[in-house]
Amino acid sequence: MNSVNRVFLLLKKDITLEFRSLYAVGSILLYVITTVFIVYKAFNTLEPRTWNSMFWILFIFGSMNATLRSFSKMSSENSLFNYSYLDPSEFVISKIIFNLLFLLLIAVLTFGVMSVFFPHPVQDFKLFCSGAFMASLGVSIICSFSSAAATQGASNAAIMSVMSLPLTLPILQIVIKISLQSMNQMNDSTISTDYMILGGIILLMLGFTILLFPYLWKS
Amino acid sequence: MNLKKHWYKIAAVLILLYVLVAGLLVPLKPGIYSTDPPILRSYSVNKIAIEGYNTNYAQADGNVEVWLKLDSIQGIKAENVTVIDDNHLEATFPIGYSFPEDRPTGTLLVHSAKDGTAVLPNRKLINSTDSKGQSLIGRSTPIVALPDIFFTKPGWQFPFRPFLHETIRNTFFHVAIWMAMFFLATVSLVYSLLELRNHNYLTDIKAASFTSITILYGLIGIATGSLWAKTAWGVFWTADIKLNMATVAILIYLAYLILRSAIQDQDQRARVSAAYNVFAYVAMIPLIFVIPRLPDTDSLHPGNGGNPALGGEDLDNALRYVFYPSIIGLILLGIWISNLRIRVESLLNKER
Repeated sequence: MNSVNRVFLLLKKDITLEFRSLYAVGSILLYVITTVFIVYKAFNTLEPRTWNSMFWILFIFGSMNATLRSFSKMSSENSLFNYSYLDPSEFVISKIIFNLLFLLLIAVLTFGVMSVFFPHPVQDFKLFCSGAFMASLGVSIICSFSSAAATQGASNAAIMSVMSLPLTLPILQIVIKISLQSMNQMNDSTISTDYMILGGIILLMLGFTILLFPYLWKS
Repeated sequence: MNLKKHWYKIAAVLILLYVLVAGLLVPLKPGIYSTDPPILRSYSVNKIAIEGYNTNYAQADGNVEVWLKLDSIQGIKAENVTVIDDNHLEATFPIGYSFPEDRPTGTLLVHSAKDGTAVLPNRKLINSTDSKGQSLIGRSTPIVALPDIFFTKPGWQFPFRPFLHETIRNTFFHVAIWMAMFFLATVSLVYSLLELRNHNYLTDIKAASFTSITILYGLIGIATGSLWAKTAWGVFWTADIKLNMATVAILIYLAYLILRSAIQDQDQRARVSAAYNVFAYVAMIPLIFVIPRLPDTDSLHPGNGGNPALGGEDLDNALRYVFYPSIIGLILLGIWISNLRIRVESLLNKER
């Protein structure tokens, strides 16, 4: 069995476990609907720029909530099993893919629910979706890393957000620019450079997450 | 006292003493502080009051010339230059013709035998259509080729730049401390890598101490930059890309300290914080070295859109004599402070 197969097997296991309880998906759905409703009651109408900032704030906090538990099962008794039978890089890659799927779900849900309450200002859907995909990928890598680190600590929810928020800032800054561009809110000819930088940052972080994860795992 | 062990502390003190003395005492080049009015009109007699800085007009024996430089070869010489005192001049430009249309601004040159040539760019040239100035035609000062008399005052002086003035000395502290901070962050990264390879409580303490001094230097860098911004740009904080990126970098490192305080188990803390430190360093590289260098980012910092820190023109040779020692001195001082911290931490560790 090669490593790609093993990664998919791990991913399948995670997804099956998730669908058995629907705990995480349900809580995310509830989170999105409540927060969007609060935004609706507070603003009533949103201008494109405010819409954009609200969307990304909801997205980033939702994704932090969602990925917090990625490695919580790791600390219990099956960690010994994982440790002795699995390759750490395969394990972390499967987690990153799982979190990526999850964050994409959050992005879609947030977008959908927000569009129900406010008409969405996106005009270039291709640009917006690719930006949202890149953001989900980057945030999922960072959140996987920091949730693996935070699982070691005592009060891990607090550490998790403290660690991952500053790390996600550069990614979010570029993605917010891209999505503003997709709403025709700014005119910028350097979108392709932005994509290159974003891709570079994501690759760098992915590489170092895979490199560093084994050290976080040895407990 | 064992000199071999303490040489870097002595070097740090001596170098920083030199930086403080030279950086604060070496005078600025003679310059022009302001002119009143800052504009020149065609078809009128422009009487301009000039305020000099560090100048000695009265001691130049009337050998003061004022020129308005229009392009690289041509200019207008002022008539009736009156020296009021060492720092004040009055010059008259009777101009009875229109300025060339493609010249919205001109550069004012004040040349005196004693101070050399001082420069003030961006004097607005306005073409007025006032008809009473027609009488000036024929007896105004013509546009002539610039003579080959201009020189800068010899000796060790820092450049005089508009808006910056004396605050240019902050280069030795604000810019140098960022460089020193980056060096200390790299040292801490090396210790974290060693810690990951080979767990040892001393390397963990070393990495943590160097990181806390890195954060301290970063905060000082932001504070000195903020003060400088207040005098140069008028506000403590702007939406400048470098300010924001530096803040994010500091936040990433502050999270390191919080992470350390949150984990009780010593071995676990050492491993997790070392891994995070490597990750933080990697995340900092695009923040500081890539994003501010993008061609389209707006920054008020010099060297915009290219080298973010120091363009060739911005770092005068006179500044270099103090700037480079300042970096080395601050690095040595940082190592000293970190070593003190390492000793305190390891003693506390033994006590437990």
